Amino acid sequence: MNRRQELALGALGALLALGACEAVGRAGIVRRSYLPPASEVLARAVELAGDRTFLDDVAVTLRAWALGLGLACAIAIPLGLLLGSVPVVDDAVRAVIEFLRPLPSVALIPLVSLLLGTGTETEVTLITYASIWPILFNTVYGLGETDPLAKDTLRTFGFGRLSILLRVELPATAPFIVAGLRISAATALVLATATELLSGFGQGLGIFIAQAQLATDGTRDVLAGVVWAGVLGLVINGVLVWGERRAFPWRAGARGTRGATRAAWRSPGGSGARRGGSGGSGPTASAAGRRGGPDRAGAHGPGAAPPGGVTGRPREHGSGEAADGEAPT
Amino acid sequence: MAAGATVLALVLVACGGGADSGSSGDGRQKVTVAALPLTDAAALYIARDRGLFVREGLDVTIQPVQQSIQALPALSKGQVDVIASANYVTFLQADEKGTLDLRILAEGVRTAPHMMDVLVPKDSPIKTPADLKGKTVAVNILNNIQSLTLDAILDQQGAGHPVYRQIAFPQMGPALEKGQVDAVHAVEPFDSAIQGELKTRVLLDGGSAPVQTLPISGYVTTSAFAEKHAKAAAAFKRAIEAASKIAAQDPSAVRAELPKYTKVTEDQAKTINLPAYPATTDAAQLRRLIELMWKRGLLKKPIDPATLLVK
Amino acid sequence: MSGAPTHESRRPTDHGAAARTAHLVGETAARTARLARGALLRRLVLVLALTAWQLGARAHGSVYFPPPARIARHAYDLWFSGPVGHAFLTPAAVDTILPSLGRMAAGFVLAAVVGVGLGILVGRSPRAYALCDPVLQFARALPPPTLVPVFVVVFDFGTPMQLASIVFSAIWPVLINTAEGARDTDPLRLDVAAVLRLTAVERLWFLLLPSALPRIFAGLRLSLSLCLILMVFSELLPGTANGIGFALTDAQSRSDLLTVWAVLVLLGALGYLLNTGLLAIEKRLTGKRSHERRSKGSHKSSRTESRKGRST
Repeated sequence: MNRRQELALGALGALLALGACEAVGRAGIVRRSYLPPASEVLARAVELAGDRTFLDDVAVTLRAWALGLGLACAIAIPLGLLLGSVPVVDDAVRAVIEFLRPLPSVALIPLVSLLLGTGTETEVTLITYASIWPILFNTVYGLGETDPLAKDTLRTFGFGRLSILLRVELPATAPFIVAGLRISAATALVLATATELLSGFGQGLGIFIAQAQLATDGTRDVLAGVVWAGVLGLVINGVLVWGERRAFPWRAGARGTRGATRAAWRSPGGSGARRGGSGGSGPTASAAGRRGGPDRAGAHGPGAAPPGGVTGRPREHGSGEAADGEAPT
Repeated sequence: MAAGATVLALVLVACGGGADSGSSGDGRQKVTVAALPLTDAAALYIARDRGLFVREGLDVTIQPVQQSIQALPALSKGQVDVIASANYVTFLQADEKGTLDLRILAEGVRTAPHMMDVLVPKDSPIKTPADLKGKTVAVNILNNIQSLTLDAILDQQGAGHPVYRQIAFPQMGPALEKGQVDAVHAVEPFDSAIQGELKTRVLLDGGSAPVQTLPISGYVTTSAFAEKHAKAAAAFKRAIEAASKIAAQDPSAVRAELPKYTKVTEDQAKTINLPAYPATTDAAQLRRLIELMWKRGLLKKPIDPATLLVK
Repeated sequence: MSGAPTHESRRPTDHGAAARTAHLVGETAARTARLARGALLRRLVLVLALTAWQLGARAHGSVYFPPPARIARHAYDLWFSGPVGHAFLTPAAVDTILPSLGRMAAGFVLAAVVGVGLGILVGRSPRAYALCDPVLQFARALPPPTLVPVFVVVFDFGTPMQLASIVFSAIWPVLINTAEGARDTDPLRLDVAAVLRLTAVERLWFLLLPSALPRIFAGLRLSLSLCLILMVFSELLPGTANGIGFALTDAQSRSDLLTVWAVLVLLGALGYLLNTGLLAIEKRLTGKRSHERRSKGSHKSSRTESRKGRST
């Protein structure tokens, strides 16, 4: 099935889903004000695009999101580099990190609200806190995956520790950091909307949804707001994936054009092609590259290195998770 | 590390001092007030619109909030100087827990007949207050003034307590209509609005004995502000008390003010039941409230309100 | 066994085996020592951190950061000081914690079952996959907390709303990961299955599920953390009547910081336990194979990372 067929089917699927929602809404199975038909919701969503106040709300949310994400990077990347380079510190800190990690960041909203009120400060603090983890873990993991041969080579040439860090480890870790950034971006959006939903007053997309929820016939607005949130998430993810592919084209080979990867594996006598998931994961990895959602973060498929290459470790998808650093909120 | 840094930042913020209330260009003392869009804050707006603040040499900025607790952190950090229509129960609890060093500048409102009512659908099987036992009643905030007063009224009548559910005032009408709750405890203007939109009847007056003329909300500040700007605090208190006097003597002033800062329309404003606006701050009445809170476990120890009042 | 060549030691196999054994023992000892040292260091740091917090909070006396000892005692008083018959749970705990846990468990199981089921279906059929892909991507991009108001309006507050929120958010990672795991089944094995004329059910049970299992578990782990998040969040919204999240907002509105902290600690512990449990199940089901593959040749830190997995 080639690309165009896929796209066509995808569009069909989307239409079918919309049609189903429309039918449910119009059939009156659930009361109209409870669940309006999809067409009404979409119409309202489009209408909101022209609403000045709504766009201001979205801008406020995005601003808090960007600020929180930026702060998270500023804290997590140096910290991750430190932890990854000095194993003793890593070991020591790990216990505390594992302690803090399972706590859902949304649970911190009441505490931080008591401390800082219901303004942007609370929102940005929470976003920063939640976004630090994926970036941090991915940075540490990425450092661990650096080719030791390259490091040794530089060391023999007399480069100092810091130099090695900057010249070899940082560029090698960069793809992982960006993958972590992608997860964090989604997490940051979740925290931003969650904080706003709870605070209920002020400006922001979540506040628009919260106030629509209170209004008597507000389901349409709530759903329209949710559609906007989903679209925002998609756009952010898409932009980051595109940026990632532009910045790290060699890893694009891993995600690969599907034909190329598959052809490589189908070489005659290519018993390598029989290497389990490899053949399949080519298209998967590239599909992942296309969407690059959180599940696929760091799933640098087997194509990342030539089989039996320097780092020729069989990268099962299980190992990819280590780079996920999935601490979603 | 990361979490430690954030925690450290939070600690610094928590114990950091607040912003200073400066003076505006023409020598008037600046005061920032957070206010709810409820009838409780009417005196504040009357004072502003009739120039009472200017007369006392104050430059008052009003910031709207939806729930007074949302402004609590801002108050304790000094970003806001006074909270108008501050829910006493919430703030007394905060004072007891230590998140705020509370001072009460002036009383805001006390209960008056039918300023809040328990409403049931017209065809409801609940006919007397005793029928409320075990039924669901919607209140704005759980374990707060509404459940406190309603339980006290029911106790006085020897009736059992209902089960409370938290529903925001604007949602109470739809909730009652959908049957999600058996009764709602609504305050004006929602009280009249619901009675106008739906077929309901008044089961119980929320301001009946033993909670008649009980203080509900008021103008609060921190001890830091009261000490550092004692003159401004006293001036603010005088202005508010003068405005409350106007409100008590001339309800039409309040009715004219309401459409300006709440969602109440002019027609609605003419007919809703107003609370009582006390012109002086009476520690004895506050003591009644504190006794009630303490008896029902909302406070661990009774606080002496005289210590909280600003002279 | 080195030393002067005697009669006995001239036998080459004995000498080699003994030396190998000695070497192995020595290596294991060294590794164990290293691991033990690492574990000790971690525990030590944890204890130090807690002590520092305790002392600092005591000294500073800020109401916002109570000392851990007080928090622990308060949590004990609130929830764990009940009668032995109730597993030490107080009535408050039974009313608060158990319903929340029940909802989360139900939501997780539902999301897992439906997610795996649908995922297999979608994954096996390239057409179905292409059909569902955009919809799935959109659903995954929705921030889960934004879905909760939708369900509040449709279902009103209570268990149906919370269950719906949990399931609708937690199902996507499982579904998508299962679909991709099913897609990536080794074509060779599929051919073998065809040759052996396995029925669809047999193929599913013996081939598809096991090969997709690592991916499914990755999705399940993510799903579990989402369940926890949504469980808390759906109870944080004003209007809920009970639950862990409700305890949190109720404490917030009463300025009861001690309870807020107690709930946070409880949630952290819960998250940690759940994740460890899931990891244990995964290890049991997928066996040591995947772990060997994972750790082969990896750097030590990444190995620890993958072993600890996602605790959230």
